[in-house]
Amino acid sequence: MKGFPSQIDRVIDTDVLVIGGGGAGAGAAMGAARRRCRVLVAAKGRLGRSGSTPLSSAVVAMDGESARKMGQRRADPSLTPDRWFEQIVGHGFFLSEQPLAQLYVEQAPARVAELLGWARRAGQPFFFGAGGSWITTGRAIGRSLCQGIRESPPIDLLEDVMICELTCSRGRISGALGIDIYSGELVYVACRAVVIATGGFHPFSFKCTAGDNTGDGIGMAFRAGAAVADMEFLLFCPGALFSPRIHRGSILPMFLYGTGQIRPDIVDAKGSDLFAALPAEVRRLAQDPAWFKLAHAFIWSEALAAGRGTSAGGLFFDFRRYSSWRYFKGLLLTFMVFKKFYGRRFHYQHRSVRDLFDSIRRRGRWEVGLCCEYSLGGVVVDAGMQTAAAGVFAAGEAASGTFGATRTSRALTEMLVQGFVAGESAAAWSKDVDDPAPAEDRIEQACRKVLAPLTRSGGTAPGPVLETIEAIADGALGVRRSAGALEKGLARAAALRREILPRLAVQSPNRRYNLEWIQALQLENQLFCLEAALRAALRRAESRGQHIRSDFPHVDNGRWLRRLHFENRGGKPALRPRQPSFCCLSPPQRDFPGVLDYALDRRRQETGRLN
Amino acid sequence: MNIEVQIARSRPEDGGAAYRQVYHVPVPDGAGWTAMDLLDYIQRRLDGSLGYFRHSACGRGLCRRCAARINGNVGYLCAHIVEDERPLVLEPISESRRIRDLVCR
Repeated sequence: MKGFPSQIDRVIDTDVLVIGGGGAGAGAAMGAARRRCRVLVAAKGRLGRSGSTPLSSAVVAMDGESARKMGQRRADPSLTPDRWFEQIVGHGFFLSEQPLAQLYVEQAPARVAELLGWARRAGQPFFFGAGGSWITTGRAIGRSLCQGIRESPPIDLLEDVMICELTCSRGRISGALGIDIYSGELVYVACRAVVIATGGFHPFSFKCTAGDNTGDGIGMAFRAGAAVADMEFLLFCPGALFSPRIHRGSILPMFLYGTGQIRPDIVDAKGSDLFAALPAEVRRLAQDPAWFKLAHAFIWSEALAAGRGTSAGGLFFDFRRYSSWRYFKGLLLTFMVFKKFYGRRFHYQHRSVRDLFDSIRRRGRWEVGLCCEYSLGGVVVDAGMQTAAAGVFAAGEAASGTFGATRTSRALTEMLVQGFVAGESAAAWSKDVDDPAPAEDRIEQACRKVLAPLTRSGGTAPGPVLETIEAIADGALGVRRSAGALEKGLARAAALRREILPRLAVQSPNRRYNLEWIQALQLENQLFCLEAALRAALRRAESRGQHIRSDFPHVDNGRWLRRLHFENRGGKPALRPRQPSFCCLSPPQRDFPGVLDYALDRRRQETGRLN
Repeated sequence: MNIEVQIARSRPEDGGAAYRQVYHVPVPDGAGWTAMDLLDYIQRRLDGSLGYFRHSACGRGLCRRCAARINGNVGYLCAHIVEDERPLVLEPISESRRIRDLVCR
């Protein structure tokens, strides 16, 4: 391997490297392959079986008009592309980059139709839901994407390989360094363009996603020169199970509540109904599928902040007010539908939930909480998914800007649309540029950095640091935030970066499936994302989406219709507020006393326009 | 309760020699921990060198990649609930495909 440092075990040459094995990665690979260039997908796990995609509630959407044109007679034709666009921007508190939201709306029909075709040919169940959306399972999404890859022009695959560092040469991307997780080999991929499709950043102890949302791509892209933004905005799903442990993080309760079949009372640890004393309009807002997550997160977090939760920080779904027969019937009907997805009785996400079903008959309660589901923040991209780093593109949850402050539309559709566009743009870029100049010194530097935790002695182990990160996020970055907690969290996170990160060391020096080494390599990205989120949340002295500041409860449109960008200035993140593009819709000029007031106002406008 | 976890180990740095290591994990009563929870506890707090499938695990029995021999029977680490104080014996599903400890390729 002439021209490469001796530490490198394997060199692969390609045109476009796609990092990530979920929907955005698969979409990008297909988009680039159709442009007839060499494509390699490097996934930390297995394609279609890792990341958040298989664990999602698996709904894909387009506007109702397009769904009707595809022959869906139950589609809602009043959900026109314009109305859908207005909803996305309005629900995101006007922080969407409107060209990105436009791209989402325009390209969703083609991408979803394509996915439905792969699903049909792979024998996967998809059922039409409401509006313009289809429901399926995460596994079916994964298998349909694999079918798409099989039908595509050739795509090379590198599974269980974790890309750790991008290398640049003469101001543009020249390749990426990774490790083969099983063999421990160092793999260098020389390429002309990179698509970051690595998913989000979920630093909490309670989440409904896989553990590999460690912000890898966000950190790597920043180090390569890209900007990141919206890091303070995280999406919390109300109604994930806290206990029993085996179901921890399952979103079945939210799903049941959302379908409207099962509407238990939501009560605090003492049994008081959270919604009983609320005005009827707020209760209606909380039952509206579009505002469900925001309204519940607001009301639940208020109760939890007042100390009304369980010792684990949860609340209860209480089924006891009505007869158990009523719930029995509701669940039975729901599970008859689920059987079409999962093939077996009383199964949700391919696992038996018979015990939960039985607990209702025994008049038990379900302990539920607010779990991290999605991060709105990520790499800043334009409508071609290009970042500020030359040759680096980003798509899906790793990118930012489509949904603004909070998301009510579908992330699975986002990953398909953006993945495909990023793949096409990366392919076009790779055709326009020459082969990257050799950058042996940069590659060697990256090798030294990646191997460092294996060779240090007497340093700090990554395990306890991971627990500290979760504790900081749980304590400061939940739905309710305050300057005091954010400052404390930020000081702890900065100390970890300064003092612990350079001293990380692992027990075993051997590279074969060295879990501690993988954890050590992820920590730099996790700490970068955590610190950025804390800084942005502290700076944003207002409430917006599910970022609710107890010390600044109002929605301050006068000062804060700004996205908080972190730009790479000499390797350091410089925080710059930037106004998003208001190319189509103008934001409201007035402020609101709180996020619920904003939501109620939007809902009044939306329903008023329909009537 | 305190649970004894016996793990069949084989570290590449020791030339792959097989041996058994015993850990004691304090588990809150009634917490319903899974075998994966016990391994997470051991790896994060007691012995970072422990290898088990974790790097892209879903943790909820969906990805089907964390297979191991649990008390002699093949199962998924994240789907096995530890119900009593009996010692838990964890072994890899295959000796010939073993990479490290419980990880097989």
